[in-house]
Amino acid sequence: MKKTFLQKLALVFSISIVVTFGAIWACGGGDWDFNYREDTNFTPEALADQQYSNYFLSQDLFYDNSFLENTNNLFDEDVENDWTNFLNGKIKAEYVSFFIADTGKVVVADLYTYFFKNKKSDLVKKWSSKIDLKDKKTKEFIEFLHYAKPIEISSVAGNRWDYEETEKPRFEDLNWIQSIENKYNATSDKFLKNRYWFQVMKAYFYSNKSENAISFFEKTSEFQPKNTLYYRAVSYLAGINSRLGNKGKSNYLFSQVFDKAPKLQQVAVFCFSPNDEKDWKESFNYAKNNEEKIALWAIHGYYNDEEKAIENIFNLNPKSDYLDFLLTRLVNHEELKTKKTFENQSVIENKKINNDTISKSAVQLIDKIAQSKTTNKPYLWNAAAGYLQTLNRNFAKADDYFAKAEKELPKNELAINQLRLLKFINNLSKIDELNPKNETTIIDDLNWLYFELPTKADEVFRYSNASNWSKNYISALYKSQNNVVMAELFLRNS
Amino acid sequence: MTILLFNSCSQDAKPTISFYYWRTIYKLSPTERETLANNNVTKLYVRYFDVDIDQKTNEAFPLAPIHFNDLPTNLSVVPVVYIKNRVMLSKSLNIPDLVKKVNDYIGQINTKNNIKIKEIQIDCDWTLASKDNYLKFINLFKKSNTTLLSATIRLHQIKYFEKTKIPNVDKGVLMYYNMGKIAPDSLNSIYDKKVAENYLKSFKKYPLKLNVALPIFSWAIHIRNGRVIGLKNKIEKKELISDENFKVIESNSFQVLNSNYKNSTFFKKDDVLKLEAISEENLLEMAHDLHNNYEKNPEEIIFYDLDQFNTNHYEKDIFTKVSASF
Repeated sequence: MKKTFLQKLALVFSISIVVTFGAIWACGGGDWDFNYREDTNFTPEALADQQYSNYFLSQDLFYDNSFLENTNNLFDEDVENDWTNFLNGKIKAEYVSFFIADTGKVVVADLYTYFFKNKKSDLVKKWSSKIDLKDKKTKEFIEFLHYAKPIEISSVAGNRWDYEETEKPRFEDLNWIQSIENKYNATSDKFLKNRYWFQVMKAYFYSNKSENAISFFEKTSEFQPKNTLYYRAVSYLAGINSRLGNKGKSNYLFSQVFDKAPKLQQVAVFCFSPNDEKDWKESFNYAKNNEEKIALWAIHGYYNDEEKAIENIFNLNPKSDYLDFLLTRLVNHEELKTKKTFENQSVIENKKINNDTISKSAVQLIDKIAQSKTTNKPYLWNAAAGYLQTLNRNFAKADDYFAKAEKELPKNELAINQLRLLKFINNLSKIDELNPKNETTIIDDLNWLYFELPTKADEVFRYSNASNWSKNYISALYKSQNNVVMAELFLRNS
Repeated sequence: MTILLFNSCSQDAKPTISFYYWRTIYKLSPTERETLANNNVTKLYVRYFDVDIDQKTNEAFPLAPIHFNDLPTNLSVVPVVYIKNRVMLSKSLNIPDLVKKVNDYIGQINTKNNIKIKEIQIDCDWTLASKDNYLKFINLFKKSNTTLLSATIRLHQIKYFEKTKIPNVDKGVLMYYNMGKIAPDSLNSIYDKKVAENYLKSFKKYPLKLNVALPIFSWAIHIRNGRVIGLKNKIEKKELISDENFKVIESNSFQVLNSNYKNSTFFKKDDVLKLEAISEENLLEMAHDLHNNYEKNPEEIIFYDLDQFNTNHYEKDIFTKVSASF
């Protein structure tokens, strides 16, 4: 099983504990003192869509500590591919990368001088054998880089151990931005126009006049393709609005980035931060349709209000993909509330306590949605509703849900194992006193759980919690039936 | 006899007062300047940067370095570098390289802001597993510096110093706080006299000169379903009392009545906020206990941390009163 990041961190007491944890937890997203893999029975990977797996419940900021630490190179590959396609083989891909990176700065400057001032340096002579200097697109590529590279002084972080790099200067040359805007207006090629448009947004973002980006965006955005560049520009716009104190607008824009730009999702989640209820409610004033409202609810759900988010998203669109990850979070949260040991309490008392702990409104909501049969993955909702009914001590209803889930279950090992595990938990939970008859309902599953599964060493499937819980449960039953030997035997093995 | 007694007291001088400065932008408010002036503070321990390890490249890097909007005047600055223990646990750690980088980075910050230093402090919660790397780091760091070197020392590192060993520094700073587990229970994790008592007897045996850091910070422990889900700093009790979304359930605990965003945090209905703070009585008690258990008074008390949010909760003379209690 994987070790957990924050369990280790929680033991660290330093002078800086307030700063460190304040920063980490300002964004919410996780709990401290549990191990999501070892303390839960509901494996989110088993039945839910993987598209939003970064947002499955975890004690890290993002699932499996997957936060992108360095956004410097996030789009390098996309940018290189875009230009390689534009150049259509006129420049080798490796040279495209070279020119775009900082390494190409001097050559780009010399080539630009050659193209536009007709001076041929030795460097240009050297490159004339590698690239076609007469090619129109090559010239356009170099011209674009000539305009774009100066902005990188403000936008690209350099050596981390260089203190100067932490105080990047604002991009002050507004005339330069104007000249890029002029190129945007004058260019008819769609690809180049889009690239210049983005450079204007980027340059304004890093300038002292970042608010100019707002008016430029309002004037031009409707003519832009809704591609990755577009949502990168939207994230700049969101950042500028946040800086200006327009938190409602900023959070709305970040929710759009979250919704539409997979590579920027984590950054958007990290930056989404309503100060108060006013900010949060105001965000909805900017949402133009149900899908945009859903994006806001999805991020809100990640901030630990899954129930409300599921309820609202379901009402807006029962087939929304966001419902999957939110449901897995809700189920994991509910099962984490339960007590799994039986010290000083009988099995019946334990089940009663757990039953009282479960959110009744969450159980009702998931019941309602499962019964609606309107979601994309009815088997996921049936399995979840069944499991919640187990925790709710309604074992017959749980059986019904599991039977429904089984009919539509994906035919893969993880999904099959997951449903079997939930059914086993329900079957064992039904037993208040062991007898030869009810032992037959669990014996095969116990062998599977204790002897088969450990040999398969599956890191994803969460079965160890059920294994430990069942040993405790059965031991407690034997104890209440005065079978000390069997009670000891099960506990010793736990 | 009177003269002898007088002499004996005067040898054990009262500790001077210093503060840690832990924000990422150095800019003092008028209140903070006044606190420094009123307490004749001449030395400020300024967190320069943290050192963390990049999970992808496995390389150490400086995190959240300080930026000076004001320049510290009439103050001697001691740069503090907090090195996360996971840096020292890294199997691929290049210690000479890290020493050089940390030194160089401190130098860059000093040069940029025209700061002259006489001392550097390293803060690291090293463990038995990271001990060897940490002690090597400190040894090399000391060799490569002409300035004084100090290091923070945790309570358990004092009591079990034969196991945890002693870093090769000129002096240590005992962190007399963060004593308990951050937990939903009713204990105060910042300071607990009963926990402290387990360590008091060890101080006289510790072979390194020890100053002491005392807490003046507070925080709120954010609890959901009986589990800690976060720490919130700078939350005012009166702010929660006047907020209709919160209800007092115990003297320092609040229950969330309606889910809401507040101070950029989402509080869910039924969450609990447990406020933990240090009272004047706590501080005086700490001073009293430390005085009784130190061989000789510490030369310096460093309060964590200088921020008007913290100091506003105390009478202005608290720092001199604490010092006088030694």
